Amino acid sequence: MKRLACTLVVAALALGVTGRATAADADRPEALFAAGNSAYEAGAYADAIDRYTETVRAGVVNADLYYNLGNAYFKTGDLGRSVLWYERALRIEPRSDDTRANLAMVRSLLRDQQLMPAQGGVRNAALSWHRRLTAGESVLVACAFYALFTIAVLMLVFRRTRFVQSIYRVASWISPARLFGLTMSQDLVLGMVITAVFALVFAGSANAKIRDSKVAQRAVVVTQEVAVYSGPSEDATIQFKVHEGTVVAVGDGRSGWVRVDLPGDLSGWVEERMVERI
Amino acid sequence: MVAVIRTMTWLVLGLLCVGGTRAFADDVTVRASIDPTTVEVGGQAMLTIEVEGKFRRSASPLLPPLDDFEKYEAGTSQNFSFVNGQVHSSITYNYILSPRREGTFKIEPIRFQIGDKQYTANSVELTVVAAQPGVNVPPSSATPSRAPSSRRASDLPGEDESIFVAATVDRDTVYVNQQITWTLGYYTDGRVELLRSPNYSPPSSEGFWVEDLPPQNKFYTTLHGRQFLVSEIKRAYFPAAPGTYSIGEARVDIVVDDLGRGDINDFLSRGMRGGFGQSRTLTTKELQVVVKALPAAGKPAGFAGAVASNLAVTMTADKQNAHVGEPINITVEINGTGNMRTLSAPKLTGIEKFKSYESGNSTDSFKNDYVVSGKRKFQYVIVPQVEGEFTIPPVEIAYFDPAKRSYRVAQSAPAAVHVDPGTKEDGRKIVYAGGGDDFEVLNRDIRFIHPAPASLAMPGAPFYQRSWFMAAQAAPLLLLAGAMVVERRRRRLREDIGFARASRALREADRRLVEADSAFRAGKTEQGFAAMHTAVVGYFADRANVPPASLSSETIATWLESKHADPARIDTVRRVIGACDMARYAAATARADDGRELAKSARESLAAIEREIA
Repeated sequence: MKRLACTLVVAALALGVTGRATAADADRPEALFAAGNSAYEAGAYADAIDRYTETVRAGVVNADLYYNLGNAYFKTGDLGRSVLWYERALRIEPRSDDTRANLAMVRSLLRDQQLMPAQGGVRNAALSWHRRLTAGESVLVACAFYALFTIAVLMLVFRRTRFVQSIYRVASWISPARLFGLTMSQDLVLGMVITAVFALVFAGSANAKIRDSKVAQRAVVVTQEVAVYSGPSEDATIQFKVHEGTVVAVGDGRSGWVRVDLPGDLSGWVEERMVERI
Repeated sequence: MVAVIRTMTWLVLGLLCVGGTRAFADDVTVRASIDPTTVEVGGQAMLTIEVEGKFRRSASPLLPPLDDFEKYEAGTSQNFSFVNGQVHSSITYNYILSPRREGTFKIEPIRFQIGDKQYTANSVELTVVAAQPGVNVPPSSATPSRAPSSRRASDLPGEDESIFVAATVDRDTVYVNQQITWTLGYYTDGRVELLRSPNYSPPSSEGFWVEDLPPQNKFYTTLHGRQFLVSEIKRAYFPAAPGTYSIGEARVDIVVDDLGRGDINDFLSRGMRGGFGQSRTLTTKELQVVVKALPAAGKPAGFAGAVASNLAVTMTADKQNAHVGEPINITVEINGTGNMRTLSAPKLTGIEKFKSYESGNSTDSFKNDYVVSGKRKFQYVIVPQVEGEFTIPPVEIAYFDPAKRSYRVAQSAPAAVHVDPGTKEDGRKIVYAGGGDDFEVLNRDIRFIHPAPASLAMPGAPFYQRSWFMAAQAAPLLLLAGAMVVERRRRRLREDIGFARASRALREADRRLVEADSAFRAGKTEQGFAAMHTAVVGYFADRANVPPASLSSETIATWLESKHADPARIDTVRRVIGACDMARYAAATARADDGRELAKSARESLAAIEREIA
């Protein structure tokens, strides 16, 4: 009898511990994420959104999570928030093919087609590298050019040493300056200038991305239609209307209103609750 | 080579042109058709022009001259849909053509302007046969076939006029958006021969929405004891706002044979005068119409300005069962008498659980017995967000009935929809908007979700915001600064011999003292003292940048004193140099052990002096 009682107590304790562990496991971000995926696969997109949102609230910053959240919003027809979460995912993983493909598809369904980012063009091609790098990657590339600049300066300073000259003899095979018959000093100065320019360009790119990560410079319209007023008041003139999913540049704010800028020199004020910063 | 490049350039340009033309042609298609293709004089044929393609802004067709026809607008319908993000529009323009004479008429290609581009439809052919007796135009008869319409304004001529025009309205006081039927009567008693068909210019219509009212009506009437053939053209005017408005003068330009007919002499004299007819312009009088505002009393909530009679509203859903995420097409159809084009889209209520989009609208106009009526169709796409049983409440249209002079509300029946949980298949059927028959289900879908990772790392500060990273940014600068210092020293060593000797003095002295120590160990006492002497004197020679031979123990001591060296060190130096001199001159007394001790003292003293005078 005593043994049976002990067994029951141990079993109860074990069950209690297991129960607590199960509850704790279910609250883990990984479990919430997995639960969201299960709900999505079952077609319960609203539930999936709830699970994913809980995961985000737990403090997780993850491109896959944001991507899945964008998918779930898309499935419920909320194109605005779908765009919002895809854009957020791209800030973490700008080269994600899946996110880019889905975002392109959602954009093709939006109403304000004329306000979509322009495709092609020299400027876009020139800035494509900027869009495809994260802030950290831009910092690393800038550092690499900074290091190359330093090496070029050191080689210039010690250009008379045999060690540096032997290094230059090898390295100069990849230098285009040989084609122009530049001296070693001229070649190294050219290298310094080029590496300095690249270091500054990537540092600028990194700076823009870091600044954007601190205070979002862009926002997405998350309601079906938003009136853009000429001033921060409903008494101001309605200038035009934008629709869900349109990405706007956000500026100053004033008591529940925020200034927005759109392509084509369009500008105005909208209620801040109508847009969400990326 | 140049020829090859030129050929390739032309080939590329040619391909671009062909590609461009193809894309251009694929954008918009314009089609024209006519029904029926055979009609009697005075009968009616419907000319239909359909424009389809990817364009946003509507445009109007540019019709070719249709001098042999009376032309009336007979309504426009429009649909649009979003397919793969592209706007697909479809506009149909209808015109009623009433031929004036027999023959086979080819209506030249109708052009269509959209933006900067012009599109051309196909030409159509219409065969006109003689009218059957008694159908449209009554045979010549002494009795009038039908009395003219009631006359509120008249400009009947004097008794001698053989040809004149008169305009009338059926009512001169109306409500906003109520129909006024304006009638132009063209009277001729047959005594005047027209050399050309009359050319009619309608009156101004500022402040009105205007619809042509076919067909042209012809009848006989008797005025001043004479029989006149009357041709009537009617138009419907819908005033847009309250106030007093004018329907302007209508003009009919005619060319009449002013000399009678049948006499060859008259014909010749007419030709000699240089003319074959007299141009005349017949004008109607301007008519005043008073437009009353709609009464404020009894105006129902939600009234949006609709003025009509006998409105009937229906609402239909294309499916009663759907899954979450599956689009449902809702069509609201409003039939009634009045200017149906001005009806605004009714708002679907009670659909909070659905996403809704307006997907198109169209208007069909009817003009039976010169009264404008029509069918206005609004299309919506609703996408259920959750499962359940839903009833879409009736659509209500509040309107003012001018015939009854009161407000009324027309409403449809509710529509029931059963929504099942979503499936993966339904997820693929995401559609933004479509319109009526043009509604398309997209086959594309978004890419699938990503799997949950085994562990999710909580974000910390990124590496570029860590203190170590900030500090590391200074490393290259420090490295460069060190390099500058090193290079400057190297340059001085190359260029300043005194600095170079002083810099290596202690190192050289150490090297020689080591040699001296080795000599002492080897029992080569004399050689050891010589090396020690060279080391000590050489050190001071290098430091002072003078030849070693010019130094003695006294000059060294004086130099050290000038440098404020420790006196004990100066004594040691003197002792070392003295011992070395002694050993050189009395080698037999010199002992190796003493030499080693001295060498050790010399190394310590030179190192100390180096520190003191450096």
